[in-house]
Amino acid sequence: MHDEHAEALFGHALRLMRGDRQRAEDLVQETLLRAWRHPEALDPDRGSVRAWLFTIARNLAIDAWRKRGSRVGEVVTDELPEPPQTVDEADRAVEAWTVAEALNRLSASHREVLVECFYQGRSVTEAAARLGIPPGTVKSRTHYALRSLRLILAEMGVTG
Amino acid sequence: MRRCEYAHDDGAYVLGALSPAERSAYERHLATCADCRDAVAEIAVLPGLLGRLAPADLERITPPVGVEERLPKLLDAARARRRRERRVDRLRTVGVALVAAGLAAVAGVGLAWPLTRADSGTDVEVRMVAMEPVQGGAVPVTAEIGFDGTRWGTVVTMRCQYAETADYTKAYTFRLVAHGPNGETEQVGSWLAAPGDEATFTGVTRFTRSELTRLELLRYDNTPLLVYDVR
Repeated sequence: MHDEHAEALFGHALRLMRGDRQRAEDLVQETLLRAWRHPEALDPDRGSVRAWLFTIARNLAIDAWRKRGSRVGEVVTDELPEPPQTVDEADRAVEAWTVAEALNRLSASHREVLVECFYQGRSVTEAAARLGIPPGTVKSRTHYALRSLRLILAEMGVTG
Repeated sequence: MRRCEYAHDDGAYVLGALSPAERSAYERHLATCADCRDAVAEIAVLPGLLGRLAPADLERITPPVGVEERLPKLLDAARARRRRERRVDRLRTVGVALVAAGLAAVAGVGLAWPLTRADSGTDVEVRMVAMEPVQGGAVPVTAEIGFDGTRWGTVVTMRCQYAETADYTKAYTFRLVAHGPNGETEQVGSWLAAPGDEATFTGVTRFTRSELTRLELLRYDNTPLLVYDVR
């Protein structure tokens, strides 16, 4: 598992940590440690192992971001750990446009929970308070919103 | 059908929205539940795709909830794109690069958010008024604001400038907050600006024109910088 995915995971971690190699290495170690605790979930027949590792890494990066972001005061940068990939500018515009179009095809309530929980980096509890709905509803909406998004992207010819 | 109590947690999990304690519980559950593992595998790649759209672009592209009708330009762009794609399919001679270039151009159109309203059929310029500085307010920002009352709330257009001075060199997050009846408040929008930046956006609050009492421009730490009393 390590050899097969280590390089890709390190690249992902490096982006999440904005190019800080030391922190990226720490993130990879922590991610693999977590993954090893649940080897059942890493059955190669069950979807993408890599996507699952990336999910763990992103969650850990978000923890770090939340800890930092909880300090009140000045922020030099407060972007979430999911910077756009460095690709050709035209490609980037097309990708951003495709995602924006897919989001626009979602229902308003589905789009809203993705904006809160992903783009604004809010927890389920925070999003629930802001939207005035129970946390359980935020969870079920993110569940259905991502299913809809997957279908919409498939219709648009985006495989993923 | 999935019947397990965690069946709806997959989305919050891959988006990173579960608290660390909830996440640990969910990961322990994943070890024992094949259905939930499959559910996570289905959607695990989506955050990576969502990340291709920077949060800053999102504010310009995604409408505030409930104002879909204000999206004629974006929808036109979408239709143009689909037409373009069909045409490309028919011709099968146009290279992928050209499609990409065309899409980028369309995306450019979609990103230009108009300052004028389109829903009344005519383009009405919103009258802009200056917000007043708060006593002792740090950070050299100025802002103009315009309102447009509708049945379902008030559309707020804001243009904010962060001046370049020797004393302020940092980028800050700013928030625009609307005050309504009974002390209720609501955030109209937030943005990140560095010295020399000008931010313009149009947001909407559910407070109607007559309910809206005040708009406040705050720094991230809730230091008020500018204010405009509506009445």
